[in-house]
Amino acid sequence: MTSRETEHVSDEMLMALADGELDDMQASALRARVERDADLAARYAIFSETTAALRAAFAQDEIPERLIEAVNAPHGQHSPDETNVVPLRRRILAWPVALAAALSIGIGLGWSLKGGNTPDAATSLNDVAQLLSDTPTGATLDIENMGSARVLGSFETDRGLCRVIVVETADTVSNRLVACRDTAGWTVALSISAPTGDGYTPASAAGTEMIDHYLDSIGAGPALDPQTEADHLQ
Amino acid sequence: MTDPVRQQIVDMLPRLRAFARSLAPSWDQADDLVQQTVEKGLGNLSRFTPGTRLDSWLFRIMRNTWIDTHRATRPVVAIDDTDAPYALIGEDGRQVTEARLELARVRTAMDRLPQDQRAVLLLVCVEGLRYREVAEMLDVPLGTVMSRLARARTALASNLGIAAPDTRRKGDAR
Repeated sequence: MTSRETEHVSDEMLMALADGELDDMQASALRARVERDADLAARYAIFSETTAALRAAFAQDEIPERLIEAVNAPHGQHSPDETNVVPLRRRILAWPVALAAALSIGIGLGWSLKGGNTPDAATSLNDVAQLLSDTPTGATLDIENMGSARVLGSFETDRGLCRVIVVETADTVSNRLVACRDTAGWTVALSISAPTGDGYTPASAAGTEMIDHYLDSIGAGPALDPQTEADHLQ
Repeated sequence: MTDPVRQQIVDMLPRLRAFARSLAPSWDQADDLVQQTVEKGLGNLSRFTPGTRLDSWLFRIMRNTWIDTHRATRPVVAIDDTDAPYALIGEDGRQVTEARLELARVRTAMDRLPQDQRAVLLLVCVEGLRYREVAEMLDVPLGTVMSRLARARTALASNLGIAAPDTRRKGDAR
C-alpha cells in the first residue's frame, strides 16, 4: 500500500470530492478508496446526501416576475437614500464630547442633540450606551428627553464587547452607533445619523455599510446569541 | 451604465435569492428582501466601485437591509428558533417518509444552523457555485468557506439521521 492508500482522509477532502472540487486524478484516487472502505463511504455520504437533501428542499422555483421587473424598472423610480456625508468638522462643532475618544462620521442631518428640539443635551451617546448595558438585543429603552434606543446586536471584537445601537430622537433623526466596552465603561466608537421618513424607513445602505465595515475592521465575529450576550453583559 | 449592469443583476438573481433565503426564513420574505436590495442597489449604483464584485456589494446591501428590518425587531437568534416547523413535524419526524414532510424536515434542520453556514450551503450545495467563487462573493478566505460547509453538513447530517461513523475509533484517524 502506498502512503496515499493509508493516509487519513479529512472531511474537507471527502466534501471536496462530493462537490466536484478535486482535480481528476485526486478525485479518481479518492473515489476508489471510498468504494473499498465502508467507513470512508459513510463519511462521504454525509456530504453527498446532505447536498441531495438540500437541493430537493431548497430548489428555486422560477424567478418571480416582480424581481425581474424591479431590476428593469426605469432609473430614478427608486429614490436613492437621502444621505450624504457631511464634513467631520461639522460634527465636531455639533457634538464635541464623544469625539474626544471616538471616530465619528456624520451622515445626513448630522447629530442634533444640541439642537432646539432636544432640551437636555447633557445626555451623550456614551451615556445611552451605558444605560443600555443590561438591555438585550432587540429590546428598546425609552430615554427621557431624547427618544428611544434599541440594541441591534452585540459582537465580540478586538476592542472587546461592542454593540450596535440605534437611537431615534424626537426630531426623527435616526442615529446608529457602535459602542464598545472597556474598563471605564461604554464608549461610542462610531456614530452615524440619518433622517428618518414618516414611519418605517430602513436605514441607509451607506450608513449600515459603514457600520459593517467598522465592525469588520475591529474583527467583529457574528452577532452573539442571547445567552452568550447575557453572559458577556453580566 | 444601465443595461449591462441590469443584465448582470438579472443573471445573478438566483444567487441573490439563495443568499436572501439564508437570511430570511421563507421564500416570500427572501424575495421581498431581494426586491428591496435590487431597488437600493440601483438607486445607489453611483456608490458601487467598478471592478469590484457586484454580487458581493449587493450581498452586503442585502445583509444590512435584513439586519435593519428584522434583527432590529427581535433577538438575533429568533429567526433560527421558529417553533412552527417543529410543531408541524412533531416527535415522529424521523419515521415519517412522506416526501413533503421530509423536505420540511430538511428545511427545519437547515434553519437551526447559523446564518453564515446556511449561506454557504445554499450557494454551494443548492446553487452549485464553486468554493472559490463563494469565498470571493462573501469576502472570506477559501478555508473559511470549506470549514463552514463541512461543519454545517456534519450538523445537518446528524440532525437528519444520516449515519456518521465514529471516526475516532479508527487507528489511522488523526
